[in-house]
Amino acid sequence: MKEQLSEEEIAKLFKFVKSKYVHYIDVQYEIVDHLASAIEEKQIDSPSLSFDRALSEVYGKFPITGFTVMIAEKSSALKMFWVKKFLGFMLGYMKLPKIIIAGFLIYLLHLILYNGFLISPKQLYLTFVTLAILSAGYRYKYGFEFSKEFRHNYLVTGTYLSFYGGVWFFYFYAPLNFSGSQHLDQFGYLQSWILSVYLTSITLLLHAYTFVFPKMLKKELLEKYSHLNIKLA
Amino acid sequence: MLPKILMHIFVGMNRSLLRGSLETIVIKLLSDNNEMYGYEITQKVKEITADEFKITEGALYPTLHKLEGKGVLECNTRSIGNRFRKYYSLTEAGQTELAIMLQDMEDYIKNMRLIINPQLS
Repeated sequence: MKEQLSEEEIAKLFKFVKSKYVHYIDVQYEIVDHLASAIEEKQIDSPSLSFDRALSEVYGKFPITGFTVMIAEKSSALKMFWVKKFLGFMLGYMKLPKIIIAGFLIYLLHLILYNGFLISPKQLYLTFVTLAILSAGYRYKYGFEFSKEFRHNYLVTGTYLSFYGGVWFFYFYAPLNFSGSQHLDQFGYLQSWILSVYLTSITLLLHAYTFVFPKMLKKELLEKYSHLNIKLA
Repeated sequence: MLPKILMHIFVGMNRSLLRGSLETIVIKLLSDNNEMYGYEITQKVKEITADEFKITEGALYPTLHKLEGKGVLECNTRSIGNRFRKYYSLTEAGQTELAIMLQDMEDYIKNMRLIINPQLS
């Protein structure tokens, strides 16, 4: 039976990892377990080997850049993970039954833009801006993911925010593009169809960013990071 | 267990060769052992290859994270006494990836043999 490191030694490892610029708590846990396993193994082979000496030998096996490459790779892996989730969500609207909702929205927007159905394109533009502002306000007020703790302490939320932060660009790009039109009340047939597809994507994204993706992040934290005892609002 | 032929062919290999084969090694080991943690993988490789292959931590973890990002691996963290450990296992996509990787590796070895020992062809 292998001897486990003591609580104090594990705490020392956390301190050591932090001193090597690993600020993300979720990454610290993984590195600490690796270092601890390697140290335990070394101490079994050489029982007289001190903890500090064993740690220095184990850390010596990491490249000169320390844990930097490891964090960078983990960060890209997590970004890729969120991109896949995002694509999965969007592609879901290209299959039945969700394609019906997307198709209906595209058609409705086309009617508004081309025929001025129900509301004018100008009113539609204002609706989009209002919805985007409301969504942003809602997330900032109720979004647990924007707290300082989440932004800086966990790589999983850090990568989530860096990815979804970029999504905002598309929200506001659409209305801006819209407002830049010289003929806000006149859209050509093809132009109205293209804009309808674009605005539908924006609408779905707005909905996802406000309600779906935060739930996804919460689920991820509860399932894979429950050991971190993260307090979710 | 890794096919013996792989072990013999790569005995004494240089680091870049090993790095190039790391994804295949990790996926194959996880397929054979269901789930493993990082340190265990490094030790298992050393054990199978009688210390000939030494996977460094600096190479292993980026590979694990890359494969995780691709959706080939998934992880599960569990408590082990006074700390937590992250176990990696193959996803369904990982199983498919394994078959492709092993085939690629077999082809690569076959072709390398032809280049190194043309008289054998």
